[in-house]
Amino acid sequence: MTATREVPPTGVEAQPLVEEPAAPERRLSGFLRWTTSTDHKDVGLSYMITAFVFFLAAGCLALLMRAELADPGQEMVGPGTFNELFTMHGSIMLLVFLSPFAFGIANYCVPLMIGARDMAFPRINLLSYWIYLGGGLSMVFGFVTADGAADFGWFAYTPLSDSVRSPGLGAELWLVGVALLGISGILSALNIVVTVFTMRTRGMTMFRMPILVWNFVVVSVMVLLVFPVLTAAAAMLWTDRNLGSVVYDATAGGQPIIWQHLFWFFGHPEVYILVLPYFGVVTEVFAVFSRRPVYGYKGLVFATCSIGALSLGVWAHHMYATGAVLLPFFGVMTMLIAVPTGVKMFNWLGTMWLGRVRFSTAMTFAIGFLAVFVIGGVTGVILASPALDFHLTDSYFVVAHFHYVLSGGAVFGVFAAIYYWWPKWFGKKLHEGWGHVHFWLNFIGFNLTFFVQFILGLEGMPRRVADYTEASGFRPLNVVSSIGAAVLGVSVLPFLWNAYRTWRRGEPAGDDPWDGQTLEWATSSPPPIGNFPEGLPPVRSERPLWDLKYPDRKATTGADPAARKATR
Amino acid sequence: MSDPAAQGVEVADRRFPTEAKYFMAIGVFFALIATIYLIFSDGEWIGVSLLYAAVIVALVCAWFMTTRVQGAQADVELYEEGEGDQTVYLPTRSHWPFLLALGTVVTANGFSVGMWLFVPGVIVFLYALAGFIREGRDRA
Repeated sequence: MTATREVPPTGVEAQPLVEEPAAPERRLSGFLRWTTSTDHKDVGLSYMITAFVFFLAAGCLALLMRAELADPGQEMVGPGTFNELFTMHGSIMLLVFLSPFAFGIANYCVPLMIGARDMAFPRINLLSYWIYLGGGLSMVFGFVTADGAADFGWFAYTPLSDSVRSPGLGAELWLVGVALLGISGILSALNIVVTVFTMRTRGMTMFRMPILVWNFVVVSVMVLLVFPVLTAAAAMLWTDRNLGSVVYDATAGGQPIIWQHLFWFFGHPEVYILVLPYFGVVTEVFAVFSRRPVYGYKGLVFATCSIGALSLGVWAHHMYATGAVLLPFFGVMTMLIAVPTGVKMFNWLGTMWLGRVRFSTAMTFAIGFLAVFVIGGVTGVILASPALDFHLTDSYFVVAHFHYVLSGGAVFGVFAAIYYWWPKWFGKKLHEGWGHVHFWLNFIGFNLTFFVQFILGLEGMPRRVADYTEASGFRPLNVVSSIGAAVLGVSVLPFLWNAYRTWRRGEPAGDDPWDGQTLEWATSSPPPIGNFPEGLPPVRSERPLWDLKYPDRKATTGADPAARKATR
Repeated sequence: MSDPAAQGVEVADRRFPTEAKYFMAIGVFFALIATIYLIFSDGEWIGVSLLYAAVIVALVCAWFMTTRVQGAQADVELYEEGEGDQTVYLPTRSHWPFLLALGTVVTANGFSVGMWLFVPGVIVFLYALAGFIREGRDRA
């Protein structure tokens, strides 16, 4: 095999024919593989491993905050440090962990799932990984500067984030990091869109692509529409701070609220950018572990597209309390998003319905995702109502809500992806028993931590405070929440042990350990450079590998139970 | 590629490929909500501009997909005997992306930290950019 691929059957323009010299096809290892391999699988793994390390770091910041909040009075950190902690926790989790981890999955799985040999721009792929790592480190290095890391919240509202109120290098480095992460995200998204649109294998029409690939198309287009807004906004804030421009400076004719509009025009779609990839992950997991085709494939695709489109029209629901936005418009638009999301819920339930469900760890995490995401989604509809939001905004209710969506939803999706694709990535299965220990600790710890925060919010505990008084009565629930956080922290240990023990003495998993349906299971584990040395099965439906293995069980997604049972 | 019709495969009307329709839908939808927002928001120009900018981006993409990529994947239903021997080069390893990213990151940090970081950053950036481009050109 050489590092070449077929020209997809395009009529665009003839690519020059280049015969690859017979280069040795052995993989690089260690540092050289990390820094110079442009193979999409190596870049994908780099993304995921790096993002996971950042996840552990940001998790430690959260544990520090919960330790401080367990008791009235200041024990661990002062208010200033607390501000740094929640700012960096949010920034890292959202910008440096969740979306890069999703890009890692995209890098690894999208070419495999559409039958391509690599991403469309392999070198730009590697470039965007390294810009991402540099941007993430720039942000984190704020901690070692004299004034500490950025401390104005991950949303960095002006005028709090201007040079008068937040001087110091940490804030500057945060801005630099955000700009770099924006550039990296744009490059990745562009790469994904071009790959999907031009490099699909024969037979892989748009409406035969796995749902995960569809979700990455939607996510990437959203990234292309909103990341430039963030990068531009950060650049303007930088010039305000350093070069004396007055875009956000009310005293000189600027408008601080411009920042809020620009930031949330990025920030709200960003939430969907973070969570949609994991919608795709659980869709794949549900289908494979129920031995069913995805129920209502086209409806699911259109629901995903609607979520993506609607999410760009709802940004100011984060700004109700400013009193300067069009409440009915944003209230209605936000509530509308619940419709396609509800459609997806029924698609997932319908996929499992009458399926032969196997409760592997990946499936357990996916079902856990479903459970907590419904709570996160429903409380989102509550917050979408301006009348309720005026009371709940900036309270712990909001904190609980978005942790149910992002920590419960997306992080459960992350682990579902890890357990599902680990055999493909490393050729060995993670241990299922330890996986279930991990899941239950995670699930219990998560709900213990965040469910009580709904109640704390309703009782009136504000966000972003380092302390509260004994008289406020917030203490018992805060203790519960902190205990839950400790359980959540401990829950990572079985996973790390599981990964270590699998690495040391895991059994080889084989090419297709889960009886998969999509093309990534049609090659070896891990796939060689070039992905499909043996060729691909013909693609005649959205689950080509299933058709190859079970030619007599034709896919049906209809409502007739007898017909559905016959297909599994 | 041989003629799809000659092989008896029905090829859908590809005047607007799915890729183009996708962006058209986005453009039309944003045009709709941007206009509603324009009418009712009482001059909140930031959101209006951003939404119309999104419309423009989507329509440019749709236009590109329609005209330039029209033939892409047109015969996606076809299976031919034997694999084609047309190949394009995909590098499996290159040190330029790492250096280019290093230059970019150091330069960006240099903006805030100081000249002592900025100047070396720009040097690395330009050197790596030249290398990155030359590598692509030499191999194309």
